[in-house]
Amino acid sequence: MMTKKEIQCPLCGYRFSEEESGCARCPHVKKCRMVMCPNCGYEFPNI
Amino acid sequence: MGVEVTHMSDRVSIVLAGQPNTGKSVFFNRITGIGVISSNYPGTTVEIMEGWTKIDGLRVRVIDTPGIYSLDATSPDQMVARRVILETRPAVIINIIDATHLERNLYLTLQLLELEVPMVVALNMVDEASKRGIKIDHEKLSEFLGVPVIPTVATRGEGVFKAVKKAMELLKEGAGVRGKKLEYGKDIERVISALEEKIRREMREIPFGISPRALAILLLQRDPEIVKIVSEKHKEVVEFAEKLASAIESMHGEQSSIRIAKERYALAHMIANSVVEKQERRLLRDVIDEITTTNIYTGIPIMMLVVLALFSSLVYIGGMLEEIITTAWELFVVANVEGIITAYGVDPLLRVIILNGVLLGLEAGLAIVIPYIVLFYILLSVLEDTGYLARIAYLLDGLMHRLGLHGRALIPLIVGYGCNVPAIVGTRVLETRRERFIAAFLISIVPCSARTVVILGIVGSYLGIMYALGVYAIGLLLLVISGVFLNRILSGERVGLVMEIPPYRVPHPVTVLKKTWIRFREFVYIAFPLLIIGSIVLSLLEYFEMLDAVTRAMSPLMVTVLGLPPVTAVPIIFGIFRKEMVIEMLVVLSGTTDLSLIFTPTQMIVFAVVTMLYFPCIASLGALAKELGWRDTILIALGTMALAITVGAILNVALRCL
Repeated sequence: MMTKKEIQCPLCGYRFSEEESGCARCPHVKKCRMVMCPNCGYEFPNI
Repeated sequence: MGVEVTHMSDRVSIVLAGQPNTGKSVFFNRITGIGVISSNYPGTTVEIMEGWTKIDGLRVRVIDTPGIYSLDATSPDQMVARRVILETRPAVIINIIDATHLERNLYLTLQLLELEVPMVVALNMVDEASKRGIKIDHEKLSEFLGVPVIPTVATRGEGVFKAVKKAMELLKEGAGVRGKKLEYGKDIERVISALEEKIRREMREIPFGISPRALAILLLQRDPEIVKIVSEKHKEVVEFAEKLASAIESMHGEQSSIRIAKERYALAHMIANSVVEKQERRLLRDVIDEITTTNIYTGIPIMMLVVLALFSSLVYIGGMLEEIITTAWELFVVANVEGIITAYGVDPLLRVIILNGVLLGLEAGLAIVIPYIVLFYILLSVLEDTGYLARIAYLLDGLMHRLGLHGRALIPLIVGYGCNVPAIVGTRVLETRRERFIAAFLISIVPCSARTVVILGIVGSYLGIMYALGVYAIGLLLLVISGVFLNRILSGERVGLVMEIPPYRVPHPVTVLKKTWIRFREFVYIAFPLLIIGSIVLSLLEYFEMLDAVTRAMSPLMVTVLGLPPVTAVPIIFGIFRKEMVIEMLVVLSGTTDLSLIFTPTQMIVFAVVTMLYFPCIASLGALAKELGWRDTILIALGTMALAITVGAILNVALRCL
C-alpha cells in the first residue's frame, strides 16, 4: 500500500505531501531540505 | 491550473470526501486493504487513491479524494476533489467528518449536500469526542441533514463497513435519495430561487448534471470554473447571476461569496449546537488555548510579552556571545596572527588583506552575525514546534482584519521575518495580482533575519532592547500603514486564508537543533563566504583609496539628509548584496567591532531604520523580478528607497530635537 508523508505547516496548519509543496519551480529543489507550504507560502525545514 | 475533463468509468463507485485530519485515509485503508493504486489526477500533481472492496458479493470501487476544507475551487486539491466528486456521478459520497470538530467539518458537508449527490456521513472519531465529553446525537444530525449518519472509529474499524453498506443501500434505492435542502437567509434564498428558475428555463443541460439550485449557488459565488463553463453557451445566465450577486453585495455590503460562506458557517453552527448533547469537557489545553489564542484581550498581551521575551533573549544572549567571541578572537587569533605577520615582515598589502579583510571580516561574522542568526533560528524553531507561531498568525490576522488587511495579506509579514526571498516566492500562492504586489512590497520592508542582525547588533547591543523594539515598532507601523494604503488604492479581489491551529506541543530539542542547522547551513554555505570576500574587496578598495569618491558622492544624502557619518555610504551599498554585509563592512571600514566609536545613539537608530527599509537585497530583487516582472520590481525598489530616505530624514530631525 502506498503511504505519503504528511507535512503540516507550522504557520497556517495546512497539511500537505512533499509533492504538493510550493517548491516545484525552485531551481534548488533537489539539494534543499526546506519545504514551502502551498497554502500560505511559509518556508520551513523538512524534518 | 488546466485540469482536463476526464470521464471516469460508470462502475459502482464510492467517493470518500472530508476535511484534512478526519481519519479519511485510515477509513480508506480499512475498506480497501491492499491493492491500492495511487495516481496523479490528469493534468495535475494532485494524488488520488483508488481501491476496491466487496460488499454483498459486489465489487465496489472506492476513490479517496484529497483532504479539503471546502469545495471552493481555490487550490489544486480542492479543484481535484470537486472534479472527482462531480465526474464519478452517479456515485455515493461517504463524507468523513471529525466528531471532535463537528462545526468546522459541517461546512464541507453542507457544500456536498448542495451538490445533491447521494451521501452518507461517517461521524468519525466518536471515541475521541467521547473522551472530551462531546456526545453527538447522530440521529438528530441525520434528521437535520436528511442523510444517514453512522458513528465510526476508523482506527478500530468500528462502523466503517456499516457506513459502506449504507452507501450501497442508497445506490440501490436510486438517485431519488438526496439530502435535505438547507435554507440560507431569506434574502439569499430569494436570489437563489430567481436564478434557479432562470436556469430551469434557459438551460437544458447543466454542467456535471448537478441540480439547478447547486448551479445557482455556485454562480452566485462566482465560482471561476463554473462561470467559465456556463458562459460558453449561456452567457445570459451568467450575466443574470452577476446582477443578483451584485444585489447581494449592495444588500449586505460584502462579496456575495463571502456572504454565502458566512451563512453556511452560521448553518453549521446552528446544527452543531443542536446535535451536541453535552458540552465539551474543558481540558487544561483548551483553557490554555482560550487564554492565549481565542480570547484576544488576553491573547494579544500574552503575544506581546512572548515577543518581548524572545527579543530580550536575542539581545542579551546574543550580546553575551558577541562579547565572549570577540574577546576570545582578539586574544587567541588576532594577537597571534599579528605577531606572526610582524615577525615575518609580511608585505603591507597582504597585511591589510589578512588583518582587515580576512580576520576583521571573520570576527564580524563570527561575533556579531552568527550569534544573533543562530539564536533567531533556534527561537523560530521553538515557536514553530510549540504551535505558538500559528497562534501569532491567528492573533495578528484578527488585528489586521480590523485594519482592512485580510487573511493572506498578513502571511508575508510573518514569512518575511525569516528571509524575504522565500516569502516573495511564496506570493505566487496568492490569487490576485493586486495581492501579489501588496505582499511583495510589504515583504521588501519586513526586517528579515539579516536586518534583525543589524538592528540588534547596533541598536540592541549599544542602546538596549527597548530601543531595538522601538525600531521594530517603526517597521511594523510602516508595514501596517503601507498595507492599508496599498489595499485601498489597488483594485482587485480580496482573498481569505484557511488556517488550522495545531495543538500545543512540547518541542523536541533534537528537532529544534536539526531545524536550526538546516536553516543555518544555508547561511554558512552561501552568505558567510560572501561576507569574507566582501571584506577582502573592501579592504583592498580602502587600501588603494578608491572609496573616497563613493563617500563624497553620497555625502549630501548620508550626511546632510540623514545625519549619518560619511563612512556609512559604502556599507549601505554593499548591503544590497546581503544585508548582513552592512554591519560587516562597517566593522572593516572603522577598524573596530565597537560601533559606539563611530555612531551617536541618534545615528544608530537612523542607520538601523534606513537599513531596515531601503532597497531589497540582490536575491530579493531576483525573486521579485521572477514573480512580478521588472516593472513592478523597479517600482517596489524605488518605493522602499523613498520610504527609507523619508523616514530616516524625519527621524534624524525628530531625534535631534528631543
